[in-house]
Amino acid sequence: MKSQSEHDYVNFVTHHANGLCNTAYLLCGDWRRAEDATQEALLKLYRSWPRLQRNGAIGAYARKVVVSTTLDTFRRRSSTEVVGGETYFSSTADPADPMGRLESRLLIVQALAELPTRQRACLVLRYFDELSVSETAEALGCSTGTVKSQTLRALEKLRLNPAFADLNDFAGLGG
Amino acid sequence: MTRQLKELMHEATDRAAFSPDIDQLLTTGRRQTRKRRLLAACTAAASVAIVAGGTVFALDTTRGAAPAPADQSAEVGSSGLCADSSGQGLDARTWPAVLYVQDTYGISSVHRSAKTVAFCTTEWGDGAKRSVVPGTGRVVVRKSSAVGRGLTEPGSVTTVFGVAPAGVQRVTVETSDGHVGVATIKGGYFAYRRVEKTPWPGPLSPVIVRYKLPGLPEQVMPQR
Repeated sequence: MKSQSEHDYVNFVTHHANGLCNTAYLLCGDWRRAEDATQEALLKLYRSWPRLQRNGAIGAYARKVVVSTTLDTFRRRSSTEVVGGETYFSSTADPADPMGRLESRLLIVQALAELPTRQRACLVLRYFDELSVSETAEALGCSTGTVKSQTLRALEKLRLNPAFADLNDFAGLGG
Repeated sequence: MTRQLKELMHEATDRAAFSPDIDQLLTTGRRQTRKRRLLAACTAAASVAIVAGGTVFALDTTRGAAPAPADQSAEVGSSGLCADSSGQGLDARTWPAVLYVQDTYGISSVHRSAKTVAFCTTEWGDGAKRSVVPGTGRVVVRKSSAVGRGLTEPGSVTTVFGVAPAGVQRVTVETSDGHVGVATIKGGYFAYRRVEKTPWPGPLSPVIVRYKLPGLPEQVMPQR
């Protein structure tokens, strides 16, 4: 890679690595795994960097790679493994205090962990990364209809979670 | 609503910013890029070899015994991967292979269809048929490129094809650098490759082909 191109890559990594890692974390519930997946995704990005510079849409590609790398890593491990692991959420707040639980920063991750992979990815990309339906579909390699239906189901499940009962109704926001 | 969901997710990811090791990323990325390029080059070389293995020269099968020295003049008759003995290009890649020889610079092979025999090299050569004495025998010489892989001087590959006389025990080829090598014989044909320090494109190098029949002294294969 030419030095200018490499300089651009370094700039991109410097400014976007943390955001990509956060997305990966919400997908897998484990910071170490998220950092590994982000690192791996950034390496893939390096290899494709010259082509991406010519074609544009670097950010979209980077996010797509992070999502696929994170989910692939997750798939490669045990199919029965719960995102974040059982012990990871041991520090959640008192169940008797729903609002207290809500304040726990881990609670949403735990709730996400209970969702199927694609539903979780739809939620994260739609409401954390604020992607449009079509952008989410592009990142996940599925149709916009799938994104809408998966998002809707995910929101319905979240709404049924006692910890989020006091929140406004998420349902109906899938589109 | 979605705003609350977004806030919850942002809260969940609120920690010290992740900053990857840029130097390690660059080092690993460069290494992986080099590996991928090397792999791509190998794949391309293998593909070329496979394609070239299908290219063919047709060879007339007239045979004779009258020995004659090889013609040392350069004769250029073909510029294709595959051609018949007259230098006419052929698309013979799908024909069954009779034999092949290979070195680090490529493959030379003999293919044949129901009516035609063809010689192929993996590189585009500028040489083709070396004329022979009619009715006595025939040798086809081709020249192709040889680049890199330890070769520091201008180089080329001389390929010598021919019909192996019936019952022949051995066919040797003496190239212009004085080297004598043993040709591969199979299916009634022989083939031999020699890397020489002669430029390519360039004139064909002179060759002398000898063969040994049982109970007879070694003879020179006729060429005009």
